[in-house]
Amino acid sequence: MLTKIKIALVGQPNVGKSMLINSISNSKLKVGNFSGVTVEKAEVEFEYKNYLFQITDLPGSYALNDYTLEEKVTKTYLEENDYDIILNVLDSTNLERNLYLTSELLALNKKMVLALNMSDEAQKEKIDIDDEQLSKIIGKPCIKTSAKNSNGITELIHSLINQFEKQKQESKLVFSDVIEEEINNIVTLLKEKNYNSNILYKDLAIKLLQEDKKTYLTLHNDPIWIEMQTLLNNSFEHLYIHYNTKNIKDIFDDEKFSFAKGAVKETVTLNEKIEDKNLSDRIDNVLINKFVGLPIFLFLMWTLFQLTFELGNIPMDIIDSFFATLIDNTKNILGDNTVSSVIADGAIAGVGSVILFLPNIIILFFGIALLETTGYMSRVAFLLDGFFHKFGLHGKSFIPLVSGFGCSVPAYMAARTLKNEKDRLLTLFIIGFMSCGARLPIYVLFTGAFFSKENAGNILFLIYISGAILGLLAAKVLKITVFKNEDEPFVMEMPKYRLPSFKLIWHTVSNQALMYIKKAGTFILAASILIWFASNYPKHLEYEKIINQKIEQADTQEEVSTLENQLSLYNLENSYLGKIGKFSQPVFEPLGFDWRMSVALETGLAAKEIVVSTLGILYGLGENSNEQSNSLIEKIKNNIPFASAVAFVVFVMIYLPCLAASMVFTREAGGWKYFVYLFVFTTVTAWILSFIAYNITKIIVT
Amino acid sequence: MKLTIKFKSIFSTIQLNDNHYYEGLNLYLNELSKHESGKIISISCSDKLKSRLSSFGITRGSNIFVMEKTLSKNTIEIKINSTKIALRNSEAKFIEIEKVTC
Repeated sequence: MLTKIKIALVGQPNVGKSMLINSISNSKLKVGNFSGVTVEKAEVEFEYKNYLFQITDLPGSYALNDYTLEEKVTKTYLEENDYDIILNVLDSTNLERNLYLTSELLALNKKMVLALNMSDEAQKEKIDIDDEQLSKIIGKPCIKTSAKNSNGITELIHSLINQFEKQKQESKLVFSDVIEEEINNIVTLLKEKNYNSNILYKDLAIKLLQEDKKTYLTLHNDPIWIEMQTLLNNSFEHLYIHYNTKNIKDIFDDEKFSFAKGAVKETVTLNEKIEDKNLSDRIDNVLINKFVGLPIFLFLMWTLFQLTFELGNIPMDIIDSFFATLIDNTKNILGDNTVSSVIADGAIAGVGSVILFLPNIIILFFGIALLETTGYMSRVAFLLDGFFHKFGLHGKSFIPLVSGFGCSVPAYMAARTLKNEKDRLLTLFIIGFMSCGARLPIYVLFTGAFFSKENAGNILFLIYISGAILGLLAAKVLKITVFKNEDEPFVMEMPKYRLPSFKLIWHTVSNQALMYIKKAGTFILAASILIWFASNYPKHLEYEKIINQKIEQADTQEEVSTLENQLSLYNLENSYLGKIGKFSQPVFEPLGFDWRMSVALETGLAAKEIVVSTLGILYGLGENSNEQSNSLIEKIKNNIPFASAVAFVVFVMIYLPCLAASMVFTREAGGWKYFVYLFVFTTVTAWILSFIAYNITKIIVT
Repeated sequence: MKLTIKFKSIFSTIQLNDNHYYEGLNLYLNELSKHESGKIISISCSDKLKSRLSSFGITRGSNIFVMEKTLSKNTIEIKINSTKIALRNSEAKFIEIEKVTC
């Protein structure tokens, strides 16, 4: 029988919590959400000896405040959930600030183990920590670990088991003499009066000094109150004089800091005076330099998009030909009938066009993950805050916005880092302008069709940049009209530069890629078959009969193929899909879209990937197997005028994100009315700008 | 009507001058230039922002070093202990400091 140990993993951001969880166990990560909110909750389970460890990775928090949603979740979990031990992860190179959180955790009065992580880095920086002494001061075991080198992991597990088996010890959070004295006075009175309390007298005393409302309410109705009141008045008077402030919160904050400062003073020795400028500072001198910082950033982004396009092309060709042969083979094996058509032209073609763009998406996600793990992302936020602020956005908006280039779904979630409700909503509305990875296939298709290979990368970059600029302008407009409010304060840590951990990057990238494929496998497959059905039914047997008779009577091969074309075009135009497209065509007519493009756009509401596969199916079936225009690119080139193509790309850039993203948006924004706003806002903007683009291009081209 | 407006404007200029005088005495974080240091005397803002600041180590008595300012001078990067933090001028102006030469 295994004994279960429930562990709450807590730490400030950037202390290597996820790395530690990775090196503790290679067991699978269960990823879900905390109940009620959409903050990611990762759980790990593994067995060791006779124990079953259950670790819940709580979101990184600087303190147990309600400042961000993450901190709120961590606080509530620690206060309300059932767990055995807190595992507090600290950054050894920045112990003092990390101990601030520890002092708050100590106040929770739970079993606790401290992991002094990144001990390898501390060693390099010649920071020597006396872990035994620190254990004595805090009264909880402190274990030096290095998640990177998997050092100290076994000791950590042993210590956790040890704590679990031991009786709970009193927390040892020691206040300064001044406060301790007041606590003692209150405790003495409580003892003398033999006050009936279900919490410890000391905790009660601390709560009273901290002006905890609940405690006052209960005490207020007790006879002890008369004496307590005078005592407390005196205590506060003493504290006010000693700390030179009347703000009790300030006083206790000061206490936490002096606790952290004191602990560090007694346990940390710097063997060498740290060089005035460490490596991080030197890198910062260049990367956030007021003159070269921005150009470097733009260059990096440009490189990322070039790589996405150039490098991604190589596996794309292989995948493309693989699916082409797969479709041919399926048709050969199954023969020319309905089943083979639904499998080959519907399912395989649909999924194929989705997988085709997987290399692009992996490279883009890889780049974004790289920016995040190295610590460059927050530098970018610093560099851009002044600029973003002008548009009513926040430097931190940059992170969700850039994630939006990967996929809108995580981007909408990333917007949670913005505390201010209106700032967050504004960012949510703008994220759609950052073209997500799923729109990339559409751009690649159209740039590939209308531009030379050398230019395609530049045009793609231009599409992304202009999307971003449009988004900023839209933000300004929304800020002036809808979201008039005070700005959210901007206070953000700039973490040390770290070499990327490829294990972690691999983890994020593979996760994202899997999510994309999963979407392709289920949702998009279903949609592809639906579109296939809608484009093939209802059958028009009578018309078919007439044409078939004509074909039999035809003399030349040419005549036969013209007639066959006529038949398939008739079938398609009168199919359900064709009817929908025709019905909405008047709306899209001024933009130069034919009914196929209109239909493709409408199916894109389900998922942007489907736009490409719809175009593939529509043009693929519409032209009777002409050997020369086998690739979709050729078909697009031959069927769509340039101006319409430009308008189409503009429309795709702006209109509503996919079904999944829209659902996430609705949840994050907090209601269906926001979805309606988003739909109206994006559709109207898309239509107007698309109309302008169409007409301008028409004038320029002709 | 006119009189009251005049009165108000006089009143506001007095206040403005008063403020100015006040600022002359006290130095705030946003007034430091790049590579200057200071010691925090007081932080006067909402409790929420204050606890946010303190969780980063921005508290009374800490030493601050200005690492970098952006071109627009709207955002500053400071170093406190060994933590680097970015904040806006609009937050920095809550933090009163005294200059420390090092």
